[in-house]
Amino acid sequence: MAKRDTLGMVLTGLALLAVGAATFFALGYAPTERVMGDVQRIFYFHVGIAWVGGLALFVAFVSSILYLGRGESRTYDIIALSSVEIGVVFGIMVIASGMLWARPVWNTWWTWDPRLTTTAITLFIYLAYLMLRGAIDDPQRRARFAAVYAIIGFASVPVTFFATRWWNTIHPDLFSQGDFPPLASPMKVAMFVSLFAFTLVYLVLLRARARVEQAADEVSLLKQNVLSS
Amino acid sequence: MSPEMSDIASFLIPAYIIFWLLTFLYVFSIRSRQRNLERDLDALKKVVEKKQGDPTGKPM
Repeated sequence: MAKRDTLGMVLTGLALLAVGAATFFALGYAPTERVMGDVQRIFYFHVGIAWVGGLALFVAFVSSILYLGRGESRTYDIIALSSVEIGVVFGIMVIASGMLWARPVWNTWWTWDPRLTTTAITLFIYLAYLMLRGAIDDPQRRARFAAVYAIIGFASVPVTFFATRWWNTIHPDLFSQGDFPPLASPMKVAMFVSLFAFTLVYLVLLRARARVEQAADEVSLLKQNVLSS
Repeated sequence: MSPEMSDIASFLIPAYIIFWLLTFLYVFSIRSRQRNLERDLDALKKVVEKKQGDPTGKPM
């Protein structure tokens, strides 16, 4: 029988409440933007999703360094794998929500803008991470290769982040002015509530995904024991 | 329908639906993988118990 995960249930409850609050702040509390109108409200979830995407890949980067630096502990490999998977899911979401915002505002679903292009490249780099992991049978070799790949692949994340400053782009840059973020106060509140809510969602998903990998290890170990006995 | 209302129906609502839908699908996939593993684990534990009960060590 499955063990009762009290902390997981509390975190899930908090995350659901926070996402509900973020939806209210984005759709009901934040004022309508003057130029773009109500469609600008996509921004609050788009930024939250992008934040989780970046955070997940950063956690995978740090875990991969720790995996190689601290005796190749499986725990760090599990965190890195789980985090990359979440990063990829949120990467797909950020591109989808960005396209739905771009269509009415830029009059196109997609343009080869530096920010959009680097985001797509980052997504493909981490999709390849997941595919390559699946192609290596030896668990230790797979984890070592994945750690090196995640460390090198992470270079695409700061490039994506700074793309709006390094190149000419039509994508808005929240950090371009002294006042961060350059928004009216109620909009700032909606944005930070969204960032908080999505961080909780990330923690819930990370915990749940890591538990799957731990269960898979347990099954694999038991299978070996059965076969060898 | 005004252009503003049309934008809400065509882009704002779908953007929020995509988030909920993909999150739900991902949670469902995690839950389904966990359930399958728990089933495998239970089956393997039963095999181990049977083997321990059988002095020849052969699976039944």
